[in-house]
Amino acid sequence: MSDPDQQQLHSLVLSAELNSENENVEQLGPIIKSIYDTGRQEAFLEQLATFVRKKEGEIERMCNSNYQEFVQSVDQLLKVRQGTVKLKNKIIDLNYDVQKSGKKVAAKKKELIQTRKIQKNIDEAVDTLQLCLHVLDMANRVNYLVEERKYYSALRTLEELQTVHLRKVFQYEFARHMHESIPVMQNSVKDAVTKEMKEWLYRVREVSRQVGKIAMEQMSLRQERWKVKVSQNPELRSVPVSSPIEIVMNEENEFNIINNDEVRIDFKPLYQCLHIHEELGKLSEFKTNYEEDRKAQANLVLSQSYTLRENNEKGFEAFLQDVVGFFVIEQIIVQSTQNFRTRGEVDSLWNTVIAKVVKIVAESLDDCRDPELFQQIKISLFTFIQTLEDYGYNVNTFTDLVLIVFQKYSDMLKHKFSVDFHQTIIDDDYMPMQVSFREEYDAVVDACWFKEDNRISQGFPKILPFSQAYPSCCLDVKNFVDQYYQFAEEDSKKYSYVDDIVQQTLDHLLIDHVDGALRGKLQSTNMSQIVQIIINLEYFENACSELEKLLKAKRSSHRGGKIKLYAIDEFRETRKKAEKRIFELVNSKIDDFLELADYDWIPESTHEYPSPFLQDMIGFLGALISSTLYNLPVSIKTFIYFDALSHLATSIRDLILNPDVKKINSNAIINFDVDVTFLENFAHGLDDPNIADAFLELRQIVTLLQAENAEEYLEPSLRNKKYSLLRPTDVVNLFEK
Amino acid sequence: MAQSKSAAYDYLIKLLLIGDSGVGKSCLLLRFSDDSFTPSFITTIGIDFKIRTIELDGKRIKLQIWDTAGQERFRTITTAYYRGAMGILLVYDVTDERSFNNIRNWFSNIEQHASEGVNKILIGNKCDWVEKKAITKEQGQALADEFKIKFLETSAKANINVEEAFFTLARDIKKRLIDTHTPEQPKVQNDSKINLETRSRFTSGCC
Repeated sequence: MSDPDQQQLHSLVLSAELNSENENVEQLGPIIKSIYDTGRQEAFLEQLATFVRKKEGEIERMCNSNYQEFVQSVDQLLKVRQGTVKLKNKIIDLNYDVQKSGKKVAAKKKELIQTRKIQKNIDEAVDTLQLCLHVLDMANRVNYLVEERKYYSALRTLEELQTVHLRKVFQYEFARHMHESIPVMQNSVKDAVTKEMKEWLYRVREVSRQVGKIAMEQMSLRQERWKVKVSQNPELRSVPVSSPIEIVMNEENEFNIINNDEVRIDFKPLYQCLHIHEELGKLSEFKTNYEEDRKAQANLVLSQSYTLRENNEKGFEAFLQDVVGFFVIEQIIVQSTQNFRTRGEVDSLWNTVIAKVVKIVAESLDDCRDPELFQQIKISLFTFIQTLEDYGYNVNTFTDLVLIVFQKYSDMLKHKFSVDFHQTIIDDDYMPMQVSFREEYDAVVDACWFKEDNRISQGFPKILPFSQAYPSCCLDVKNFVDQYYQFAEEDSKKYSYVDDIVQQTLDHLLIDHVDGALRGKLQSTNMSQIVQIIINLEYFENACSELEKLLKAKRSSHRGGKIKLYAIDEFRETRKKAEKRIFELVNSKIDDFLELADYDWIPESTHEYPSPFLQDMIGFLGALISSTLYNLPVSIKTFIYFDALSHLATSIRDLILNPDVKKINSNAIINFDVDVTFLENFAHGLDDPNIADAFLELRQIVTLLQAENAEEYLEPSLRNKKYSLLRPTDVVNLFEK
Repeated sequence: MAQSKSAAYDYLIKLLLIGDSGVGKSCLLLRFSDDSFTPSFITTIGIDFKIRTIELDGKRIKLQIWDTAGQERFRTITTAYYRGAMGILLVYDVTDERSFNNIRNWFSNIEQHASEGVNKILIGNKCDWVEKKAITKEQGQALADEFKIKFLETSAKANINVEEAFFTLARDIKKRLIDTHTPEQPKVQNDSKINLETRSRFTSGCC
């Protein structure tokens, strides 16, 4: 053995002593391996045996020294073992006892636990039932509240039920059912309020007329008061009722239209219904419904019929009152609610209703024939308009209605006038009017603006130029204007067309009825009648200018402008027609005489007197001019002569030129010359240069026929001098004869 | 034109209507000439005439009927026409006694101004107005008998006896003047203004 191995082993043993259990084992492997590798196993084993022997010796020594103590320890150990066994037995006994009593306790405990569980369940059930009961109670309460008409509370309760209480019991079937039925209940609340509201609407409709009546009465009282105020203080004259000044100054205007001695309207059902719908979020639905209901009610108002035929204005007034009442209530609703009824909606309803009101009233006026009734209607209508204006409605549309009222009134007057005038025309004698007394004369002068001139005889009886129809018609026309302005009172200040209407109607009246009637009379063949018409027409023309002045004086002072009656042109036109008619009639008389003309163109003898028909004719013309046509202006009479004699000349020329006259002998020419000379003398006797030449053509014919030398016609100078008026064809014709 | 018409008659007879204002002379004439009637009363001023052709015994006779104003103030004008008249209708209003009583005055006017032998007839007009009648038919007849002239009650309004009145008078005149004279004779009467003319008709077919 080498040293390193010795050392190694030694350390190994040492270490084994120190760490007998672990490390040395691990080190053992590499040591053994190195031993083996070096082949020194023998040495190593030897070394080990040595080491063991050494150790055994150590142990022997140690045992020898500690023996006593060891025995003692074993004794003690034995004693301990004995005590342990005893203790062990005691514990076993004890354990047994404990086991026995523990079993009982456990059973009790189990029981207890079970009972506890049951109790808890019961508690929970009670709670739930309480909840459910509450819910059901609330549901019942809703119904009760609805019955009690506490709709809002009912609705609140429903909501609470839905949002709070039902949630807690939602796992139960009935709760779900209830949840589902909540909208139904809400609806029933809604239905209930709606029903109440409709009943209210119905009641409102019933009192509407009363409301309207009171509103209009209040307005007339107010106007009365204002009139008194204005009369005390003329400066206020231009201030109309309903203007801010009037509202401030006219006290006692405060009047509760819906809560007074006669009418009480509680708007609660409406507000309630509105509130409920708002709560339910159904406001727009309610708005629509309400709008339709009111529209229907408005139509109901408009559908009522009344007539003015029996001179009964009650129906008419009730109609106006209904309209006023309706819109007064609408106005109150607009003012007392929010987000419900807009002014625009009411105004739109207003516009449709008012258009129909205008139509209805206008149509009904056709039946009105009584001036007093018209006056009554006008006053009612003005109060009506004023009232509605006061409630803030736009009354411009009524301007048309006022216009219509005035138009109808003037039409009625016109109609009355036309009936009277028709009778006047029938009764007229177409004779110059004769007045016997000063009073009568003054009355006539006053009636028809007559100005006395030198044509009128002094003293009585007086003969006036016109026939009695003229002053009587003037009187009627003046009455027409007076009555109209009596009716209009002060209204023309406010409505300028009031003046225009009377002017136009008067014009129509004069044109259609007066001028028309006279024009119709021109068919007459009675010359004295037509003469009188001509003279009357002249006065009517003059009356037109007087009427223009009258209208100007009547119309409200601030209006300027010219008043022109077109009737004056029509009268002038008719007068021309009448003059023409006279010419026609005179000429037809001449034709009648010519019918009697009996020219013999080949007589055997001559006569020294003109043809009898010509003598008759000239006599008649003279009588005509001096009697029948006496009253005509000289200019017309002259023209009648001129026209008649020209007509006569042409007709006689046509007699001689007639193709049926084949031959004319010299006797005939002599007779014809006598006739022409007779006519010429007559024409010259009239002393009018225009008339004197009427028979020049006939004279030239006679000259030509008597000419010894017919050829002289062929000489231009002579022809122009002597035969200027003759037509060559006629000359040829004459020569042939 | 005028000539073709003038060729349409054989004789011309001139008649005259006289009587108080308002008895209906113009209405009678209008009924006879135009077969029309106007209810309104329009006084004739001065003088007027109408022409109607009638046929008597195959002869075409032109009646020129003069209508006079009844009012006193036109008397000068109207009396001038008496002389030329061949027949005169004296008209009164059966409802107006005064107009009947005035017939005597009118009759004496005729005596004074008209041609001798002029035919006359008494006419009581407005006989349709029974309830207002003031003069009986017998009274009228009695007066006519007294004057030895014919008498008829007429109504221009109801067209009663109007034709008869004019025709009766025309027939009497024809009998007096034409049937008893040779055709040429009337022509000579031109100068005395009695214009009853027989006509030498033109051969050409007229009208």
